[in-house]
Amino acid sequence: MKKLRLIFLLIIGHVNLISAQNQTIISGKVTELGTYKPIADCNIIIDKKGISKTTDKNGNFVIQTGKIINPEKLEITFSHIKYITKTLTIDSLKEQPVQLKKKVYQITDIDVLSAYSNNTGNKYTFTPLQAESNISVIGEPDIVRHLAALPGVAQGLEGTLGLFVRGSNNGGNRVKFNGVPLYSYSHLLGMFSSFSPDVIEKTTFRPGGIPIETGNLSSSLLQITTKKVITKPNNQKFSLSPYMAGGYISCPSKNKKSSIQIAARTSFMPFLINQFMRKQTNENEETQGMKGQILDVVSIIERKINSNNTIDIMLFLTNDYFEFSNNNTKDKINWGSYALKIGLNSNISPRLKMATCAYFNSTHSTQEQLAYDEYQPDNLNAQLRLGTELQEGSINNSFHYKLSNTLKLDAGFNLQLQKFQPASEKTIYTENSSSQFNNIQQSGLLSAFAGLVFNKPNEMELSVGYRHTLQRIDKQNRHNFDLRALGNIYLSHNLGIEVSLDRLTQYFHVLEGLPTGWSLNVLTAANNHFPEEITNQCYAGMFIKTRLRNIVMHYTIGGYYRDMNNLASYTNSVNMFGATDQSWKDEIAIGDGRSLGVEISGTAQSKHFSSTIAYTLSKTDRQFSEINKGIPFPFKFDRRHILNLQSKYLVVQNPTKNGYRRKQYLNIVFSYASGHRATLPVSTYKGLAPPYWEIRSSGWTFPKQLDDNAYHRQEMTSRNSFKMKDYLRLDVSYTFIKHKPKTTHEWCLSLFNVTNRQNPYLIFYDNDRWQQFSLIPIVMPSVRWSIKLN
Amino acid sequence: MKKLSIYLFLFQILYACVADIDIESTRDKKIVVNCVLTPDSIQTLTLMYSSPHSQLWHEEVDSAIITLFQDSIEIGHFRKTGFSNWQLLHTPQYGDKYRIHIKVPNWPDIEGSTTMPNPVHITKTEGNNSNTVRYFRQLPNTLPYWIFVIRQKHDTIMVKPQIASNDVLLTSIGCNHPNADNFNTTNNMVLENKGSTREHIAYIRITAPKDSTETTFYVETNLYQSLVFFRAASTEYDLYMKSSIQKMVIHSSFNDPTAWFDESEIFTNIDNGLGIFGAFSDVIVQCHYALDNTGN
Repeated sequence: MKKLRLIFLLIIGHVNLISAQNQTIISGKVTELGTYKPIADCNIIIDKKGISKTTDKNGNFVIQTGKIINPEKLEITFSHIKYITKTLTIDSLKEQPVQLKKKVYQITDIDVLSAYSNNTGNKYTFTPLQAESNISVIGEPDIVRHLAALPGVAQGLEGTLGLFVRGSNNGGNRVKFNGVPLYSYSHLLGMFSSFSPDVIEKTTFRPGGIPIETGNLSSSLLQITTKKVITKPNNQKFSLSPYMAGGYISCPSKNKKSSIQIAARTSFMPFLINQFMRKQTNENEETQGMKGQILDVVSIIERKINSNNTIDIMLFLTNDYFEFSNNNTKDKINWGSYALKIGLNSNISPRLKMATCAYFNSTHSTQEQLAYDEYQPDNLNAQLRLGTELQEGSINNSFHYKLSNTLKLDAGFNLQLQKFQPASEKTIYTENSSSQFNNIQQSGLLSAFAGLVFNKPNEMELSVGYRHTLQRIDKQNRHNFDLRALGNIYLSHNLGIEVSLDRLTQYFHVLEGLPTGWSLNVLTAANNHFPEEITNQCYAGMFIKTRLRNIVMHYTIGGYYRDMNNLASYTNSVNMFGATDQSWKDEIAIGDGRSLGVEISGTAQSKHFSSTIAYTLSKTDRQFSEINKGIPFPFKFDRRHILNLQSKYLVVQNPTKNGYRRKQYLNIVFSYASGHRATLPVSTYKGLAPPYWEIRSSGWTFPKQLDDNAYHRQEMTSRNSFKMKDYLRLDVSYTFIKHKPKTTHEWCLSLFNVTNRQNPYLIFYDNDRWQQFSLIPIVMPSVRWSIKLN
Repeated sequence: MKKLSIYLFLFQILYACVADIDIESTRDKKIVVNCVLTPDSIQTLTLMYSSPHSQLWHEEVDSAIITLFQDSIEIGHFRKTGFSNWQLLHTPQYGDKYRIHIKVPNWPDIEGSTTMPNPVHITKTEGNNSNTVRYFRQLPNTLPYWIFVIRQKHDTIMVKPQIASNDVLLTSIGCNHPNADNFNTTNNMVLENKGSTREHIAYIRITAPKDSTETTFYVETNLYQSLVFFRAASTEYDLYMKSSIQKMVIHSSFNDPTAWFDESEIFTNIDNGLGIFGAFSDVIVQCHYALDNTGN
């Protein structure tokens, strides 16, 4: 008698297991994750039984086998060429359906050119390879510099740090490297970033619609995701250019349970400059010299504790040091940061994931001047130090709970302890006197957040989140909140609309060293005197995908409005250098800003050609009661039009005479932006000299300009009302790639700024004439060679 | 050849950053008025045109009708006394509001207004007084004031101090007043780094907080046979002084490229023109060898 006894009925997984005395029948359905589309021809293998079957066109399968003891421990593997293989026990199928995730093939070769895919107006994801389409000064991919080519981003100068997103200050951008926020990540005063492209998997830039997990920012988020190499083969790479030399190594263990990656770069440029300075020394018979160091190191260790828990440890270090000396003085500049992180990612259950990490990071920038005795050069007369330091320790915990197939709950908390230390020190050894200004500010931030994400692929993605932060500073408690909402609704397969609302709060201020934002910034905690920066913004737009013959095109268009409050600004740019003020606080004003604009981006991609375009039309202003008589004035980088074009063309793709595969491609970048703003003197008039200035004591020598300014006055334009000449730049590069059996060689020849001096940064009046200052005024050639061991 | 290429490359980076350019300055010629009322019986004014940038000679305004009003009552017209100079016989009253009105043919009317400040209530007081330190007591004050020191050639006590041409304005001065504005301090201590207070360049601005209270403080510099000025300033004159000195300080160093970033504007309260219409009143304290150091 066939008496079937029902043991398990696993409705959720579309898998039924029916066990009788002599046989077990397993049936079910396999579908695609998210879309529920049935997967046909999916292989189903029963562990240790040597039984396999495939699904029919509707994704259904039926497997009959003999009697199984403890069937709930039975492992079934589902595999398909287009999907990620999944192994499940019958027991686990009680809680999750058989749904396979579609494979995403990593972009590793030039055939996939520099197009953005699936980007929206609030989210741009790119790989280092795609960033390479933006030619950098050093000739290798720079993911931070690549942001300048995205819509909504105004550039300060030729570098990585002067990036002003939707009219906000540079200091409001938050850069998270492998989950750790970094506040100093540049080399050579911001010329290029400290992130080695070899260790980076992808980068996501969000000017809006920022996930609720991230707080303490007021402008944009740049998330840099590092590579996971546990399951990948060993990899080694070495590259060399006149500006940087670097190496990268990744070693996964044989049992595929742990891995280590190390990337390190340094520059020979200071050495070359020192040689040049020595030559000058001989000619001028003066002792001049320079020492320097440019260095960055990343090391990541990853360990898979078991199938559900992975631990990773990261060390990040960047340091720039320059020392200039002549007969009597020595100037030292040093800036950089280091970070140490330990993280744990756990799959607590099929529905619940937890990410925990603790990190410590330290950011510093210092300047030191040493004055030596003229006649006894070994004797130190005076020492002046200016610096700022931020040390931050943090514990973060977040939970992601799947309420249903489409609804997810994100929640967690962050505890941040920050120590800000702007400081100055002056010692005059000849007078045996010393003065110090050392204002340590300690700020504690405790944040809790929660958000809901509704995701129905190709139909809609909705998220809403709330974050509340308690700040403890100066023995007082302050609190504020963040609110984020994002909606992507697909009207059809190719067309969607996007709406976002953000309220962002930043509990510190960045008083930037130059109007461009370089590394020598002063960081200070928000307090009752300088309240936290608050940004409110909304964005609405649409995204379109289309195909014209064999060209795939992707466009986004949208408009934003951003309202910024409690911005901190120096009343005069010259105050940034601390000319005379006892404290930076003396010349700081708190005010507001507004920005609105339209952003358009587009990509076109075919087999041999890809092109991207980004255009921004925007207007940004500022209002401070202590600046410009309280009247609103244009933001310094209020660039009305910004246009960036990048094109990459695959020129050669055929084997060499030796049979090696080779590729050559041409890359052209065109960059245009309306000139930025300046305040200039336009006329001179008779002034009223300070009292009794004409009988001032003798013995004080000063430049003629000081006396001119005692008796005469300069009429200035209203704040930032002078618009500089438009910015125009063309870069060209040509890359050769040759694949040999064991190695891949790459040569990249690049010309940065072919247009030559069409990129003014500063206009000033000196030696009775107007002059223009450009940071990279003429063509910068570069050659980069890299070798990768296959 | 190899070295040459390196030098060419470095030359690009280090020396090719600056280039001469032509920019068209959209300057409109403006009328410049400088008039600061004092408690004296004669008030002076200069009237000129502004000039192109960096031109240090200026054209005068030939003819104008310049009228002074006290609380809306016409006091009189200024009279031209020399190149660009005008005068009016009048002694302003402390606390009164004044307005100036200037009519120049083919120009829009020019106006400015100010208030004559009351003198600072300040007296010498006891303390560790010496030739370099002098203590003062200041009563609550509602307006900012300025401190500066004139060292006199002769140790002469005068009923009404006069400044001689060979007297000297001291360019290094310090004080421990809690409301001292540090905008023009240097990195040095006063008295060639031997003093106890930070050095200000020639002038110390004392701000007037809303909750101003009686304050005892000291001034530190070479006070031997000197006159210490406490100049109460109208709001307009105070802002003009501060912005003017700020601009001077920015240009106080040789070859300092940071001056390129100077965006500071000089305060003006002249409608349809440039310059200043302000007022001040001085309290002068004599610090002479012959006087008792206790301050009595």
